[in-house]
Amino acid sequence: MDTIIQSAEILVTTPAVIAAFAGVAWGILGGALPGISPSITMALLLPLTYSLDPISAIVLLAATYVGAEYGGSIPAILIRTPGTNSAAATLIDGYEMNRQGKAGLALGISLYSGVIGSFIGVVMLVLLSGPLASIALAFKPPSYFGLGILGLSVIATLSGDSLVKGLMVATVGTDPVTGGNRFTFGSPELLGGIEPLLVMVGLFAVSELFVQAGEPGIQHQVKAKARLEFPNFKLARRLIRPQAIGGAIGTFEGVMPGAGGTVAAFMAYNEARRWSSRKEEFGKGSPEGVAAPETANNVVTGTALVPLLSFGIPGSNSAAILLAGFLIHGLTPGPMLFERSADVVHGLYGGLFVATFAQILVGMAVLPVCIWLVNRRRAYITAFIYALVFSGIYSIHHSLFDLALVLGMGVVGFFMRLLKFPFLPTVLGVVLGYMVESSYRRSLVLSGGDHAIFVQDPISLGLLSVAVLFIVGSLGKRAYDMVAARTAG
Amino acid sequence: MTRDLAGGLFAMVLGGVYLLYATRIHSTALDDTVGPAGFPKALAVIMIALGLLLVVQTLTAAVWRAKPSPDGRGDADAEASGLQPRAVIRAGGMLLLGILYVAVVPYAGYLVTTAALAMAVALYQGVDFSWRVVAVSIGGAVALWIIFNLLLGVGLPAGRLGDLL
Repeated sequence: MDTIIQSAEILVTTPAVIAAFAGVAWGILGGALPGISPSITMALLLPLTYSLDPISAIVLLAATYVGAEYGGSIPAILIRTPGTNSAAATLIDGYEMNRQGKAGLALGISLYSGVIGSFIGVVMLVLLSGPLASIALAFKPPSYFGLGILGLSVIATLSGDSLVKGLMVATVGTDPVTGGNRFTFGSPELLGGIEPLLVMVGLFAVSELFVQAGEPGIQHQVKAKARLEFPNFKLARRLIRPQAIGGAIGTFEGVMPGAGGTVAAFMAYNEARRWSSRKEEFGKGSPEGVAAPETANNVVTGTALVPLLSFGIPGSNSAAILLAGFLIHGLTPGPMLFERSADVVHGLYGGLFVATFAQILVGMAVLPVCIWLVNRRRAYITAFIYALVFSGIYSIHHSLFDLALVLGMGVVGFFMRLLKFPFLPTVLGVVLGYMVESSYRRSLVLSGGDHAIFVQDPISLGLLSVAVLFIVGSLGKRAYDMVAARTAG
Repeated sequence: MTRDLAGGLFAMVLGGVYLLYATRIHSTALDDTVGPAGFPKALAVIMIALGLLLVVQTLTAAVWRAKPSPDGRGDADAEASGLQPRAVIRAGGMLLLGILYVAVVPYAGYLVTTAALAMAVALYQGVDFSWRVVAVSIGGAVALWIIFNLLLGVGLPAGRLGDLL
């Protein structure tokens, strides 16, 4: 209760409310532009924060993070281009809803679930900072390996070879343990590896442009509903389960440094499908397929700050930018922050609550414009998506090589789509590949090459056990379905 | 069937090529027990095994289904949605526009090349040439330049043309 009162006092005595609204608006703009990640969007504001008071500065950066994670879903739904890595999971069903003329509803569900996710994230940040941070600290390399395998297991049985392709892409670049080069073919541009966003934009967005180029009657597009539409009571009830799944996974993943919103979004999507009574709708425009990942990645915007505030550990690029914001104002995140600068912590809590409401208002103002834009003549939209994709990708490293790479991934995606190979396992392989390999090898360095470390670490053992259960369960169900189909035939 | 067979063969070839390059990764004095090549080699073997499994599965299924089904349907349904030459050619055209963009932008600069790309794609997608296409393309390129360059501070290529100006 004291926390709430102190947060409210700070909100009325500082410009933190204005900072929260401005941050969310800026974040949505940055997140909605492919290639501009939440951390870049936040970093662009860093120079501005010098002139602000510490509370407003920190709230501005944190609210930008909230806005950017939400903003990534807008192009994912409207133009099949994920604005952020984590929005790639939203794209799967969000874009299908758009194709069916339900863009307004998809955006409404995304906003509604994003707001719920942000709210859960702030509540979790305030209530569980201490206990959750202890769990995060207990994570050692074997635990991260278990976490990575769990992430892969949720989809491994769907298409093993596509998953391995993603893992292969993740091995390009500098070796995580020895620092040697792998699969770089002498190209300095590949030393840092291939960014997951490049793979996603290529597979999803560029391949879509190629497919549209070859589709007859492209001018006769389905018109998206011309206004933002929130779910009705019946649909809102149906979305409670995927949102709860997204909330739980987002909380868990958010407090693990390095796990992040992308893993949370994909895991939430898969678990929502697993527990849904309408599994067959997933991938074909399921509202649950939009709600679960959107809730999860927005929860992470709150819970990812837990290790930063409690121990000074930035668990993601965005948290690192926020850490820079703290340091600019002479503040050092960690246990002492709560004692020495309690006003800043309370201001941040309050600011994030305001940012949640700002997300609704700014989102409602921005989305109708986006829907109007997407209903313009298809040829023009295709032209500007191409230009936008190139502009966004160029802005990541100022590299023309990245544009060529995205075009190459677009070609791969085009043939994968024509041959009906799923993208999801490939994308998840790219996202989790580095974590799985680096934590596996670091674990073995710690144990002197003894694989028993993975069962001796209780967290790793638990996560690996759940992964095995997932795989056995999926294979068992598949075998049962095959037998049932043969019997019926 | 063709799709699975092609997919299986492709996986085997990909795994083989990947394995070839994985064996060429240099080991150093800093190597751990797994080494930089360990994980890639494991992935390559898994890829080849999955490809082989898919090929065997497909061929086995083909033998089992050798007799035509009574309703005359079967794999034809699945294959009907396969590659269509016209779609691939049209997609190739779109790819070519992208390649041209990457090749030209260092010389002509962001604004000119982006406007040209937007116009070329719009025309390629069936819009008739008019001043409206030109205006929309230039306006769109300027809008993107304002967002990325002025608002977000992203340095976009000025090109040799920009340098001269």
